[in-house]
Amino acid sequence: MNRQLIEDTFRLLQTEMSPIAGIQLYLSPAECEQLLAVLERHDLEYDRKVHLLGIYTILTVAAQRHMECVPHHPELTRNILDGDYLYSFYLQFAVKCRELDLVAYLAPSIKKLQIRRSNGDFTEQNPAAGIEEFLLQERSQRSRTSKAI
Amino acid sequence: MKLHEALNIDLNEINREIENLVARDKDVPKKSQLAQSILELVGSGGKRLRPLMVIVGGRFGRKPSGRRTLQLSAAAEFIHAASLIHDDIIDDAELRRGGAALHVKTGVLSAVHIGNYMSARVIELLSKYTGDKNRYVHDLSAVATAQLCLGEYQQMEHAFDYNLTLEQYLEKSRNKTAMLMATCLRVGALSTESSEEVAQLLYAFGEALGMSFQIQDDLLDFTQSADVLGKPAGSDLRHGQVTLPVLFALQDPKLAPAIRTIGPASSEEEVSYVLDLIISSDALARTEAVSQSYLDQAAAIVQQLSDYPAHADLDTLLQYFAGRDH
Repeated sequence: MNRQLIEDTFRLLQTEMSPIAGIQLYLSPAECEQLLAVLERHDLEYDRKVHLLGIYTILTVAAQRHMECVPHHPELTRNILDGDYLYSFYLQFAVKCRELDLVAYLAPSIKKLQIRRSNGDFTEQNPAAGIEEFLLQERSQRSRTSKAI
Repeated sequence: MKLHEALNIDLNEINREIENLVARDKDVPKKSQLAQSILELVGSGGKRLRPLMVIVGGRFGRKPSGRRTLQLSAAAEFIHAASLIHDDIIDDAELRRGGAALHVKTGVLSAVHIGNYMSARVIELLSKYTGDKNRYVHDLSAVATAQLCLGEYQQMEHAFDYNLTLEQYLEKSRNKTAMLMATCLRVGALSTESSEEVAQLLYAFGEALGMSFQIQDDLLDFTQSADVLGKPAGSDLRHGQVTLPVLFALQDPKLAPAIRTIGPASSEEEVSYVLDLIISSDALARTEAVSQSYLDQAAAIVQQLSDYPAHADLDTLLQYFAGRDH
């Protein structure tokens, strides 16, 4: 099931990304597992799982590419462009998947990550935690709404 | 008269809004390197063309311009400035607007993330506009920025590629420069609830203007002195950027062999020799003619919008872009 989900997600992302960028997305099994565990804890439609894993993948790879931006690195230009493209593609993809509420929720934490990294604090931050918090908030709002009805 | 005066736009108000994007961010300490670097960069000049285009676009809507249009104008400048930070690292440029480039002061890794902060701050700010009808507010950060990156990829892929076609050159220029300007006018218009048709016309106007702007920029590399450019003349050729004057010169069988010898290892003398060859050919006049044809396209769109009083502002923009080399 998870293998199918990962394959479907990566296939969708590769279809949606511009071939001009030529980016091959890759996440290790351990990196995927962080969000897969979150998705299993929530009752979500399959397509939504694909979209959320897609968003998680884009954000994770974007941050990784920009962490590899060191002077004289042979791939410096490509790492900058890949990170830049992926951060804008993240928004495009989220708009297309109608996940703008998630974008709004994650925006402050993504911004704070950039602030910390600009200050030389390279502590790992996994977007899975933010996505889980968003799903929990969404669930409690839905439950409040249904009780009110 | 300066462009903002001719457009009757309060530039100080826009500048305050741009500065407040970082100065009023409660997550950023005022004295931090990040805050200081950004304030220095945005305070160091720049023509604010993109914010002005957002404001002009906002004059075509059914509602008066308000806070949202102003925020979008500041966002446009922030996105542009963030791209300049990353561009300077890619180009290994040590100077920006007469001072040290940001990455020279902070280091590369820090500068990359300061640029990222600026983009992320825009998304955070604009995320408060929710709902389907407000999705356009993200066009600057999503569509226009992605296209800008694609233009950079294309430029990188075609460095020293003397077989580049005219179509490839035009697509690269559209992605790298024109689409952001087009999007500025479009989101400005939508922020004051213009019709989709008007927003599209303004997009096409901005795209034509942006194409002319990029082509003029390519020309300036041949016609202006290093003092005016703020970088050595001919640096596009030196860095392998096959611009429109080079493409036209390549069509001359007498010039092409010399141009094709220029590569990453060419000496200053070799580059200067080829620069002189191109300058004394008809390539610059032909390039100027292409730039003018885009301005003509833009002028035709102004005619289509002549029922709107703000069409005069489009004319002002047109005149400014037409006289950019003078």
